[in-house]
Amino acid sequence: MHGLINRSFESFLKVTYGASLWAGIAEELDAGFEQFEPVLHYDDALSYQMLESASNRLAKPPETLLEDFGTFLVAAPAAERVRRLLRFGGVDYEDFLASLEDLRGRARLAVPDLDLPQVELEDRGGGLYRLVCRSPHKGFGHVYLGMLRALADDYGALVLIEFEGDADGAEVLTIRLADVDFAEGRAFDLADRVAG
Amino acid sequence: MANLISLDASRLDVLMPMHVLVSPDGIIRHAGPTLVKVHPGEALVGAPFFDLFELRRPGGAADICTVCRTAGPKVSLRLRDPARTPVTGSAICLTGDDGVLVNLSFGIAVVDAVARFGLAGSDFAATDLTLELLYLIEANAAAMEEASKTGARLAGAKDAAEAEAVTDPLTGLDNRRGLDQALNRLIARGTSFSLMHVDLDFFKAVNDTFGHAAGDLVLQGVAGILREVTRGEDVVARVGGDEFVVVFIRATTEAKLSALATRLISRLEEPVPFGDCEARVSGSIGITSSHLYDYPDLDRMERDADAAVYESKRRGRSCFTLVQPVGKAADALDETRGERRTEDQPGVQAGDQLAVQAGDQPEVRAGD
Repeated sequence: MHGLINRSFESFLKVTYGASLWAGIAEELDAGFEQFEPVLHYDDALSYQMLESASNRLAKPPETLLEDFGTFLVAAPAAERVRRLLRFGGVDYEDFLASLEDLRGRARLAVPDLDLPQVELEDRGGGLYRLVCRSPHKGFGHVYLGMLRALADDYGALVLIEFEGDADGAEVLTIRLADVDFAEGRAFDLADRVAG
Repeated sequence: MANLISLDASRLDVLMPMHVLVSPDGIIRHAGPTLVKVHPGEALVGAPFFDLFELRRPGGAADICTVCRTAGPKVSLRLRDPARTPVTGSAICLTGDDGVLVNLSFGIAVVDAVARFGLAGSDFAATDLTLELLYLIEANAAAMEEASKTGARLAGAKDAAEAEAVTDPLTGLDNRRGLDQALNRLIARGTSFSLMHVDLDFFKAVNDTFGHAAGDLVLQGVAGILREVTRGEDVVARVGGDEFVVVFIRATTEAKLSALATRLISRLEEPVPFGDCEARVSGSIGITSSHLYDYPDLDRMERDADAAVYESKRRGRSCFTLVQPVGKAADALDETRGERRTEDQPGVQAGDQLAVQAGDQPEVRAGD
């Protein structure tokens, strides 16, 4: 798994649960380093060990942690950069949903070896969508679930999103747009660069 | 004409939010919403086109109709804002001499323009790649930032690893750190040892004459010689550019040390072939032993060995100097060894202090 993903999850754990939790996990992983490097690649097994270790220590199911991770990526000030990059996807929530299919290609523009899941958005009409998420790495569907819910808040849209389940090796979400102009969303200024 | 279409200007706003319709007399008839946004508080419609836009290319055209008739569709303009924001685009004549349609873009200046005019995603046409461009710039900045952080961490780790390293990369011998660790271990265990400082003679001349590659070759050769004349348990270290230290573990007699030093010097003097030339060095040596001290203090021993090296240099290089305890019967040594003494001044300090210290002449025994 790409270091950027591992590193983001590590940041999520550190920011949300504190450095001592991470120190314990790093020790348990016994990988010979204290933190993931975002430009390196790591053995997939290590990522799942990290998830399992965090899940055991926090007594939370891995799926819940992954969903919280997705929320973190959008809502946490520490991940403002990610929120901004996602918000570039569309001027409103529906527009943004449509851009999810491009997310993988967009990410590769900046980080050519970053392998995000292949996403397909099925428009069922009447504000009903199915998001089909294919990846060799199981669990991304739950990350997307957290991310999409948090982005609905970000856009000020009222949206119901559920994890439908696994089908043919893909993880499927159902998305129901109730009101795209439900509330005032968070501002998004194209030129507002995140301070380095 | 089948291909002649009629389009309301409000539809043009969707397709080209940065377009301007100019009447044949050069007056703006309509401007797209993004251009309106970048001219807050200004009435665009009714204003002369060139009051709002400065023509850069093609040069010399007096009015916009001439521009699109004579110079082809491409125009390069500037807004008349304080930043003179550049815009480029196409100008085409409308059917029936009904004026000109100019469609504009910020080009690469869009990055600044977005900040300057507070533009949003909805200010650009759906076909416009501006958002992708901005996305790429920001994602790229983020990726570069992470990459440089990683670079800094790796550099830090490299420094730390080097700081912890005990080996000299050129020769594979111990470095100063490795030497100190070995000596501290010996002292802690109470193992007796002799400390031999070897300072190469004429090394600088080799470097200056043949270059650093030759110098490195010589240093590697010296390292090989030092390994050969020592036993496996002894410690050999390179502690400076051309300075080496050999630690002979366990008590070694002066006779053996003298023989070793003599042999070492003759080996060091063997010419090192370098291309068509030969590099030649020698060595000045100073030796002290732990049994000469009540308590073998490392700093003291190193100072004494250094002073002995200095003495060897003073006596003309290519020789060795043994540190002697003050008051020890140097004459007797001479008798048993049959070597000449070049210094014959007994130490003046009482007790077991060594002769080599500031202000005193060391007792030396020389070997060539």
